[in-house]
Amino acid sequence: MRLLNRSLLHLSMVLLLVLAAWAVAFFFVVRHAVVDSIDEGLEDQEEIIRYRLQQDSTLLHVHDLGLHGFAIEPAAAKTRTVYRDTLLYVPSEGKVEPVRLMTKVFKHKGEFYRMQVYTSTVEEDDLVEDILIALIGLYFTLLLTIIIVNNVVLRRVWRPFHAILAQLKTFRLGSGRALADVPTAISEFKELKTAANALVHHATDTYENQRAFTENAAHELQTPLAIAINKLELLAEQQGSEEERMAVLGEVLALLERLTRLNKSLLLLARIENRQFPDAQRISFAALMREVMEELADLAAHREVSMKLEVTGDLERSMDPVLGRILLANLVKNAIVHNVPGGSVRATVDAHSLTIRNTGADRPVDATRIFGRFQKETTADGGTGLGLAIAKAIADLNGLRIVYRFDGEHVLEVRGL
Amino acid sequence: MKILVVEDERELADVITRSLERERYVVETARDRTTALLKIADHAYDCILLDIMLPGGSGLDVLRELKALGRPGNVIIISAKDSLHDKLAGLDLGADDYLTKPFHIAELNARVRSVLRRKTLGGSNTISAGNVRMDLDARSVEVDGVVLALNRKEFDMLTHFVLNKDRLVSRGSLAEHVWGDHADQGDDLDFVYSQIKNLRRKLKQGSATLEIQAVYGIGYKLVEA
Repeated sequence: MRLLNRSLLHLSMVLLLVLAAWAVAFFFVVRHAVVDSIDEGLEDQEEIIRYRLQQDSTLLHVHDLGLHGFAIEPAAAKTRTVYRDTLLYVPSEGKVEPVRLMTKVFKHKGEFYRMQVYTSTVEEDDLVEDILIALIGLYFTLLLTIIIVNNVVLRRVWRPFHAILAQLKTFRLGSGRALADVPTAISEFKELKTAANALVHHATDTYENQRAFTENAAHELQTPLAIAINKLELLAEQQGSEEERMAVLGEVLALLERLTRLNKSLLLLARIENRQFPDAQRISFAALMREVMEELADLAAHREVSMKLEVTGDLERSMDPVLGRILLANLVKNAIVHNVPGGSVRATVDAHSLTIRNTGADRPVDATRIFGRFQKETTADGGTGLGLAIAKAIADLNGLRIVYRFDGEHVLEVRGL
Repeated sequence: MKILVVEDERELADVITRSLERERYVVETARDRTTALLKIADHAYDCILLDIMLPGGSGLDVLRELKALGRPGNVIIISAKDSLHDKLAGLDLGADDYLTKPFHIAELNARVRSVLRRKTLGGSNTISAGNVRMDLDARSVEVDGVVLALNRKEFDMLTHFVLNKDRLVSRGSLAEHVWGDHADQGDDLDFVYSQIKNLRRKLKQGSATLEIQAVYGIGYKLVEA
């Protein structure tokens, strides 16, 4: 059911109830007014009769109420004036009719008399009928008005919505970047437009990233594969010494190990992004940093890089311990590998952040690309170019932020959002 | 010693079999779940290498069957899936170890040895080569009964070498075994060399009859001098 018709249905039902209640109230109000005026008429009649009684005392002997419209009879004492609705045979009409009857006791020449006066109230039924007809007329007029307003005005008002909907229906990833603008002054539709645009942008960006990532990953896998195959082909026809053949085999092994690492990194990235690390524990970054730096001490020593850890407080975080270790290890490895012989890696942990500073190239690295996938400073080091991308993915997953800055040294700082 | 290799990939099963046969084990292979179930029903194996993803069902069924037969243990799971969940499920069902593909032959060798040792030696966890004897629980090394002081990494390296005596241990395998999974940064494994140098020196000073030979471009080999 369309929104338009649905609201119409509800409106018509509510309107029916409201109008019915209103009709009942209206009927009683009108009837009250009518009865009031009838009663006043009866009083006037009574006064006229009493006036006539001054001249014509024979009226005291009129007893037939139906025939004369009034009746008088002696009464014992004064009583209250009473009005009531009753049925009476009216000879002039020749049938029994609903009437309004007033009974009043009055004093005439020292004697009490009771007088009854009536008026036919047949017209009251007509009144109810008239009111009902008027209300039904009003009900349908209102419904008709609402239908017309709905169809004409609302249809026009909803036009931007349908335009946005049509665009979303035909939107395909990879075909375009943004939705065409739909002019509208209505704040809800503006909001819808903004939300739809944000969604499209996000989806497009993600799609582009994934596409670039797949391409890069395929390329990164392709190169070592090609080299390994060629080396093995050369080995097959090579006549050299045992040592030379072993050397080629060693190179092929190294290539395959690089592929293995690359593949592991890709799987790790996918698993981080699929949130397949549900195990959350309280982690002390200071303690973990100490362990990681100890593990990497040999690599640092080999690269002639000195390492120092300074702990002034402890950054604690609830996260998967495996991921925590990978995060810190990747940051430290990055600092060791992109360094110079005789350089240094200095890590600081305080209550709010973890900072790793390292010596290295004299110019800053592009801060927007440093966390990108397959962003490599050199191709010589044989790294996968995924280390910092993985670190960033882990940070993102755990509500941490990694910031890069350059102040003569390269600084990576991890802090909570 | 009889070993069953349950692995559907023919090439991998072949490589594993050849490597284990060099260690003079009797090796049988099963390439799907049904064959594996038939074999374990008929024979008792000293060690089973079990792939989880098999044609015809999960390798975990084989584990369950072993448990039902009252012969749990001595199973090493070899799986391409490096997820904690699978690891825990396997270990819960009585597997002894979990090895993620791809792995180094030397690593597989070491794991098989340690599983078999636990089974046969009933508690005393020692290995020896030449005049060198290593107690893996106490983490102590003796050369002709004289204690040789090694640090943690040197000890781990020597263990790996002794378990793979006379066999090629690549630098990658050594680095992974001793320094953990350097999954990402840099395939520069040259830092292994300085550690090897120290270990060689200590072995020589302790007059051990073992020698770590370099295999050019690939890695090292432990031989009896």
